[in-house]
Amino acid sequence: MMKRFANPRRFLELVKWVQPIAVVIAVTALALGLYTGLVTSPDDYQQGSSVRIMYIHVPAAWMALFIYTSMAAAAFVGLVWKHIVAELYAKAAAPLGAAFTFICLVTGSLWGKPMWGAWWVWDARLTSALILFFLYLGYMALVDAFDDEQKGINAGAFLLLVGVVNIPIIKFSVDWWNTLHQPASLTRFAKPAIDAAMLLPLLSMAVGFTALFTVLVLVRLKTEIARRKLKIRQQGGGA
Amino acid sequence: MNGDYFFYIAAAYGLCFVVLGAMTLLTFVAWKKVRKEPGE
Repeated sequence: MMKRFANPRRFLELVKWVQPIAVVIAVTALALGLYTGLVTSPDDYQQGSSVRIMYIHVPAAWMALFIYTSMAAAAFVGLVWKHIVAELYAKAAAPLGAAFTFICLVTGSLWGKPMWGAWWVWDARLTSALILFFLYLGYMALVDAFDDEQKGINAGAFLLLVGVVNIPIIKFSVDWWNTLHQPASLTRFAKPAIDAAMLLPLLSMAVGFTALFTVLVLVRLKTEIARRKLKIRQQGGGA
Repeated sequence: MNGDYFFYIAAAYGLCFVVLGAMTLLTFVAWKKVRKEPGE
């Protein structure tokens, strides 16, 4: 399976049918998430209507963690097996990961001000999420810092693999330290500590963000593959 | 939804869709640009 999609042509064939499906899922899930999140879901008994910020803040945080983890996995595959599509995936996904992390940080701040009375606190969860944002920016800067694109991608892959240590720190920071940030309401093994009327917009937005990310990362990957093909042609190396 | 926290909710949703909209636009502009390159 992995070897099969190391060939960009085969990968592009897969993209042709995955992309329209992802567009439909993204539009439907985001519309449902917005409607249920802003219109039908109830206010929280303590936080009032500010709880609606959760429907974008939490899915954006999930995306920030998921994208970085997938980039680190792709970087590992790219370094070990010289998988072209995996190498380009990390480069294509990085700006999207940075965008979701930025959304997570700013919406968290907008939620924190009315609930905690502060825009920002140097809490373990917030600080580790800020480090994740800097890791994304650092990766993008490092990849573009080399004249030889391949050298940049390899250097960036090492940064991604070193930085992956931050992911469990973000995830478990609320359990390991006494933090102002609340612990997870959804865990894999326990019954959700959240009402179904709030769970629906939360999961809809999460599905919508994932599908939107899929669409965008596939287009960015197609762009990177096309750029690389053009570069090879310009250097006279053939296609 | 009552009017409490309207500013915070509007700012959060507005920012989210501005950022994601900008990323979508940039992504498709870059794709169109590379498609127009001779040889592609």
